[in-house]
Parts: sequence; structure tokens; C-alpha cells
Amino acid sequence: MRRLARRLAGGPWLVGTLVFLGWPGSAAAGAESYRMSAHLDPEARKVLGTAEITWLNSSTVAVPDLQFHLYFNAWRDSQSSFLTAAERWIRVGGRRLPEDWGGIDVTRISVRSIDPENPRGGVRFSQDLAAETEFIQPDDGNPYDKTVWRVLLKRAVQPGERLQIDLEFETKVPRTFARTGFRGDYFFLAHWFPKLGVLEYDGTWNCHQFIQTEFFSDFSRYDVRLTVPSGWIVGATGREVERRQEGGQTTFRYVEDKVHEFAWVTCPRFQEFKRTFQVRGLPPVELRLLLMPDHLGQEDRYFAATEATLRYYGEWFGPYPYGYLTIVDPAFGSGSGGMEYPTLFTGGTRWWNPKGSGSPEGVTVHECGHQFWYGIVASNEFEDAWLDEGFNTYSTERVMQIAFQPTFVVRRYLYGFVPYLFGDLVRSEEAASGLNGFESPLKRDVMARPAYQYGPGAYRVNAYTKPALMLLTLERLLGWDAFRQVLATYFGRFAFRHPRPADFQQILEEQTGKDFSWFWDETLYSSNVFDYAVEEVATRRDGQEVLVRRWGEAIFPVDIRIVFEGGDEVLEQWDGRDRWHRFRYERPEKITRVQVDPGEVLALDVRRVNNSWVRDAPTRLAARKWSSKWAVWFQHMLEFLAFAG
Amino acid sequence: MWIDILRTGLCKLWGQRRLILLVYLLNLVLALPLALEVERQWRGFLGASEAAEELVQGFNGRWFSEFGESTESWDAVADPTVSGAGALLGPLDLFVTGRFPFLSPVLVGAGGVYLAFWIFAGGAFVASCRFKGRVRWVDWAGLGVRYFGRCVRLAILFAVVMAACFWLSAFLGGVVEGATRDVVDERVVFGWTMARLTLVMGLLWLARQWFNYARALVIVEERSSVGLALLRALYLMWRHAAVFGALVVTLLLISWALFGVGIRVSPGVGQESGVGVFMAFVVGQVFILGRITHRAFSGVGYWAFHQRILEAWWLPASVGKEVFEEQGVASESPQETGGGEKQ
Repeated sequence: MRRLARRLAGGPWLVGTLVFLGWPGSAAAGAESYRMSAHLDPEARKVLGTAEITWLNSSTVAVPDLQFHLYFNAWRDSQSSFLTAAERWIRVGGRRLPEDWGGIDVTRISVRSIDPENPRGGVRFSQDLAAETEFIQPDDGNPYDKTVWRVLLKRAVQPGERLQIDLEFETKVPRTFARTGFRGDYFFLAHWFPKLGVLEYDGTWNCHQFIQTEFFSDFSRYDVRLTVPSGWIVGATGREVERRQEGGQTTFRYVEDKVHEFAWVTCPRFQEFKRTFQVRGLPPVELRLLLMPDHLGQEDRYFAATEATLRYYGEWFGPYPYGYLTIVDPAFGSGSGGMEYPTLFTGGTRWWNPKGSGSPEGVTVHECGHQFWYGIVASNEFEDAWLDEGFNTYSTERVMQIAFQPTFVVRRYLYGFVPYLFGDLVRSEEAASGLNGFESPLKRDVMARPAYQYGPGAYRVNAYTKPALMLLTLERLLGWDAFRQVLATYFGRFAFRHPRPADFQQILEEQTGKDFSWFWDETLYSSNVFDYAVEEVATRRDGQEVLVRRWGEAIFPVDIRIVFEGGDEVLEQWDGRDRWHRFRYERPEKITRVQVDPGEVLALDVRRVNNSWVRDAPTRLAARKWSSKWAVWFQHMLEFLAFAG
Repeated sequence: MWIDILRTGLCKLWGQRRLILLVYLLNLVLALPLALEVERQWRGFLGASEAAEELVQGFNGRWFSEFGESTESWDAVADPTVSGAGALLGPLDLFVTGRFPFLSPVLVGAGGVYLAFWIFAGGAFVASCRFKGRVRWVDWAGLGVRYFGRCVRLAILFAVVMAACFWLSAFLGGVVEGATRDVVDERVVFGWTMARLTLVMGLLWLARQWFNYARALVIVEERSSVGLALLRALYLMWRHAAVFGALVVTLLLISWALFGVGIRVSPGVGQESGVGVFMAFVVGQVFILGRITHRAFSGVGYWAFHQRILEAWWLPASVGKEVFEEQGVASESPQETGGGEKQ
């Protein structure tokens, strides 16, 4: 018994179980449970739904209203804030016919206060939809945006009081604008129901409009019945606990505790595959893959990527606690790929997809990884998008480097249908980060600004690229083992909770015993960029000089490595504060190589080409090599142009 | 008959081999200054950086990313997939998907100059078939000038046809998109898209052959009306469909073979020395030369086709004398059959 207890106590099993049960303390949820039904009419492309929501006022003040997200209203018409922004920043492709639009309408709402002594009793109030509800626009004031719906209660809800909210609603499923919708007989439904915002402890609602960010909601219990035509395969958040067939329709019941979203997918064409993830020291996970028929043959690739994620994230941060996971291979052109939902995610691949391209492995690792950063550690994606996207991008890159290298550059021709894999062009993920030198998009906005307020062109770089490189910099500064411990502590402490940036900062300093305020000032709270360079290596009468320079506005201590003829090396440290620094050497051996930040600790350096100097660098040869290849390309272009003659 | 046509065409082309080199040199001369500018930009970007070592030893995408972000230059300058098979696949894709007009103005301008020269050269290659043996460049150029106006008119008409084909491609693209908007099987959409491209490119290719033949007619029969020449070409194509079809298919197969071999053997990024870089460039030039030769052969082949079906190998004496007296050059071949159909 003692031996067993010792074994269990040391294992991730115990941590995972305790985390799942809510220890060491998940936040009290506002929306405690959603009991819903959804009836899909594929012909009309509508979902008729009911919801019974149990909600607790966990704040310290009386609350006079309820605020709901009605995400699907972003696609009701072209005047929503989502589409107004998308027209500016994202090209929304494809023709839109009248039947392509979506929307969600609540047709009935009633509210009942739950008496803890008499849970089935209490006074029920119907709310007048016209007089007692309204659409509000707390973020941009766009009067046509209907993604936040406010219900003015007949009386305020007291702190600690629990409500039961009953809703009936009708959701018109759009042809996908982003993430959710239909194509043919494939339906992917996320954010399809009225969803309560998050009530903060001070009684204010954290309920943002749906513009350019992702989502945020309470951890709840979801118990959902999904009715679809018989023969249609369903995948959903949670575990299937019941299935009933009646009159040409099948109703599936899915249940899950401690998730903050319920997404589902249905299509009669899915091919189903199952596998069990089993790695020593981690809890088993039942994997269920729903694969489209034109992607048959790629199931092993999906499973391999998922298992690698569960293994490495589990070993590094903490185990995946739910016991099952649904992988959805999205239909071609459905627009639902590359997205995460609790216990379910969508990958994405192409019918013709050569091995070694990094697809679908990359997107699968990333979206599976979101089960951890987003699903379990559930930061507010409206405000702190980088806390899940940045963490996950950083973690994804690590898994890809370990498990799926090398990957090669693939160019898709003929409207993207025909791939060609360049077997001598190995992909470098950091190269894909697009830091863009001095014109860097990092300068577009400060990362600490709430994500929904980011200016044009700033979201992607501040939510994904910059935080990932920031974390990589921290890892290289501290060493992997120490940084992994920081991440694991953060994961364990904030599992099933909603952390803010300050929470991670506090854990970093607690675990390392160091003050990192200087680092946050330069990265999180500033849009300044880092750029260190070797400016000059010169031979003077009294010796040799190395001049290094800080071109960027941001400051970071860097090492400088100087190599002499004969192989002798010197490693200098520079605090990086001044605009320049000179190193002098009085020795006969010539300097052959200089590297600023040789270990590439500062992953955020926007221009690495100027970080090194080599005596007799083969610059001319390199330039000629690549310009001559371009010349041949252009010569072929000329020949095609001559076709007209 | 078809073999005779090919043999005759090849003989005529052999006689103009130095002039094929002239066209190739223009291709090279148009590309070189731009490539030298690209080289200059790369040198400026790399400085004395270690990046130069990495780019010589192979490939590192990071440097392409940084280079692309630091230079305001032309298309594909910072695209590593211009190497290897990408040197052929990239331009082919741009052509088939109709994106040439959207390239950098400098590239389009250089392409316009090259196109104008090919219009000239196309006529010159066909007209020079009247000579036996080696063709002098001055005669070649003179004939090019003589028929340039007619060739330009043909080229303008062909440009209209091309525009119509690409318009059709866009139209069919909309049709395919509309017809497949609820198709979830990519293979179906792929099939429709390839059918659309095959139809459009097939029409374009056939139109090219038609105009190539019309050009031969314009020159051989001294026609000033290109419209009538086009109609006559259609008639003769129909009359001699089997031979014409064999010629078209042969030209197509040669084109595919050139591309196939080119894609297979185009050097990648493995050159680490000046000699290696030079040899890789030379291999690229061999394929360019091959394509130019193929294009010249397309024109000359239709001359041979026309001559063969008329069973006349030389121009009628009156026309030949008139042409050569104009140029002050004695006719090389005295075979005056007086045959051929009336104009």
C-alpha cells in the first residue's frame, strides 16, 4: 500500500486528477452549467435550440443585467463589427448569396432564482424581449453590431444568488466566414448558442464584441443533446453518453464537466478512426478521428501529431486530464480548419499533401496543443490573446523541432491544387516569423494592449509571433529545464482558471528568484524592437577593434564571441545599453569571426543578418548564386511572355 | 509526310542556328542587368555576414525572409523556390493562371521588349526558310523587317484571342466555383479545375498553332491581309487535318518533354563553388535555348507543312526575284517551279 501510494504520489496521474477535480483551486464559475438541445435542419441550415443555464453571481455586488455573446450575429449582415474589420484587414473571399448569411435569434427567455432550500421552486420571470433586452457595443460603439446582447433583469441578482435561465433560440448557420458554418452536408458549429459573458468579481461584465479576437467564458458543465438526420456522424466536445434513434433522426447526448465551450460537427461522409494514446507516466487518452474521405491515407499523420503533442505537452507542462479527444479533419473549403475547442479540435490537410511538408502535422500539433493553453489554462482571448496563442506557438515549435524534422518548403501551383516539395529547401520556422527588420510589424502596437484594441495589422504578430519569440528568449536565458519548471508551475496553478499576464510574471519571478521587470518593460509593455549588430572590424596601428552597435530601441544584454586565427576565442559580455561599444585587442592573430549573441538568446532580434562578421565571407559567391537562379527563373518568364508573339 | 515535314523544318532551323543564338542572347541580355541588380542587393544585404556562408552551403529560409523584407525589388527576388524545378514551374503557373500582367512593371516592360523582338524574329525565321543552307544575319534581319508589320498585326489579333481565353478561364472559374460551392471532396473540385485549365490552355495552344500557320501563309504567299491568311489557314488545317494534327501533337510532346526533363534535372541549391554556380547557370541556359529552339521550330515547321502540302519547295520565281531585287541579294536557289496555289 505504501509502495502504491509512493508511486501514485510521484506520478503525473495524481497531478492530473487533482487538477481535474479543481485542486489547487479553480475559480468559482459564473455560468455553472449549460443543458442544451439542438436540432439541426440541414436543408434549412438552421439549428433550433433550447438552453437551460445555471448561473451564479460570484461577484461582490448586485447585478442588474445579464450579458450574452451572440457570436453568430457577426455574420448576420455586412455591417457587423467583425465584417467591417474583416473587410479592412482580411479579404473575405467568395461570393455571398443571401442564403449564405447567418445569425442567431433568441425567441424566448425566462429567468428563475434558484432557492437553495427548494431548487425546483422560486419565482420565474419571463423577460420581454423587446423592452427588456438590447444589443450593446461596449468596444467600438457600432450600432449595427449585435454580438453582445444585454438582458435587463426585473430585479438585480444578489451576490451568491443563483439563477436558472431558460432560452429558446434559432441559429441560422452561415456559409463559413470564419471557423464555423456549413459547406454542403458538412456542418461545423461553434459559438452557436447564446453564451453568457464572464462576470468579474467587481460586478462588471467581461463580454466583448466579436471583432478580431477569439473567445472567453466560464468553465461549466455542458450536457447537450444533438439531433441530426440518422446516418450522420457527430463529433462534439465531451463524451458521448447516450444515443437514441427516432423517426429518421438520431439524438446524441454529450456531457462534459469543466469546459468553457461546446462545439460540434456533423457530416454523413466522415470516416471514423480510433486509437488509444498510451505513454508511460501519462494517463491514457481515447482518440477519435473523423476523417473526410478524400483524405484517407492521412489518418496516421493526424494520430502521430496528436500523440506527439499529448506526450510532450504532458511531460513538459502537465497531463491532459479528460481521457478522450476528438480530432476533426475539416471538409475542403469549409473554413473550419485550424481551430481549437475543449476536447475537440480541427486540423486541416489537402487531398494531395506530400510527406515532409509539415502539414497536417503542424496545424494538428498547434490545435491539439491548445487543449492545454486555452482549454485548461483558459486565459481571456479577447484581452490577452498572447497568453494562449503565444504560449502555444512556442510550444508547437518545440514539438515540431523534436518530432517532425525536417520539413521542406512546398509551393502549391495551379490554384493551390498541385504541390511540389523542394527537397533541398529545409524549412526554418523562425524564418517564417516575419519580424521584418526595421519596418517590423512589432512596432504596430504594444503587446500589453488588450487584443481587441490592437490596431490594424497588429493582432497576428502580437498574439502569435512576438510572444512565442519572447518565451523562446526566456527559455534560452534560463535554460530549458528551469523554464520548463516555470511553465509547468504556471500550468498546474492555473489549470481550469483564467490567468492574466501578471500571474505568469509572478510565477516566473517566484520560480527563478530574479526580477524580470526589465524584460517585460522591453517586450510586453513596449513596441520597441531589438536589433544588435556588428558594425565594423578594423585593424589599427595599436591593434584590432570590434565595434558593435544597438540599432534597435529595446535593450538586452548580449554576448559577443570573437574568434582569432588559430581558433582562439574570446567571449565578451555587453549590457547592450549604450548605442555602441568597442572592444580592442592587441594580439598578432587576426580576427576571423565576430558574432553578436552567438547563442541566439535574443530570439526577438529583428535582423540577424547583421549579427555576424566573417573575414573573407563568400558574399559575392552567395549573391551570385541566388541572383543567377533568379535570372534563370526570369528567363523562363520571358519565354512564356513570348508565347503571345 | 509528317516525318518529311519535321526533317525539312529541322534542316531549315539548322541553317538559322546562329540566329537562334541571337534570340537567346537577347533573352540573356534582358535578364542579366536585372540579375546583376539583384546580385548587388544581395551583396548589400549580406555584407560580411555569416549568412553568406550559409547561403553558399545550402539554404536557410531566415535569410530569404530578412532579405525580402529589406528590399523593394521585383517579384520572386527573395523567393527560394526560383531554384531547381521552380524556375520552370513558377513561370508556368503564373502564365496558366493569367497573372503575368500583375508582375512588377520592370519585368513586364522587359517582357514587352522580348515579345516585340520575338514578333520580329518569328517572321524572320519563317521567311528565311526560302534560303538554302546557312542564312546570313543581314538577310534574316531584312526579312524580319519586311514582314514585321504583318507579324505585328497577327500578334495583336492573337493578343485578343489570348485575352479572350483568359477571360474564358476566369468565367469558367466562376462557373466551377458556383457549381462546386457545396462540394466537400477536393478531388471533385480539383478535377473541375483541371478540366477548366485543360480546356482553356488547349484552346490557347491550338490558337497559337493556327496563328503560327497563318504567319507562314502570310510570308510564303505574300499576303497583306492577315485576316484572310487566318481564314485560309483554317481551311488548310481542316483540309489536311491529319498531318496538321500530327505536327501539333509532335510540337506539344516536344514541349512537354522539354519541361519534364527540365523539371527533373534543374539544379537545386547544392552548389558551393563558383564553378558549381556557373555550371548550374549553364544548365539553365541549355533549357532556355531549348525552348527558344522549340519556338523557332514551331514557326519553321508550319512553313515546311505549307510547302509540303502545296508540293512546292521554293517560292514562285516572280515573288522570289522581287524580294531579292529589293534587298540587292541574289537568290540562292534557282529552282523555279512556278507551282503553288494562286493567291
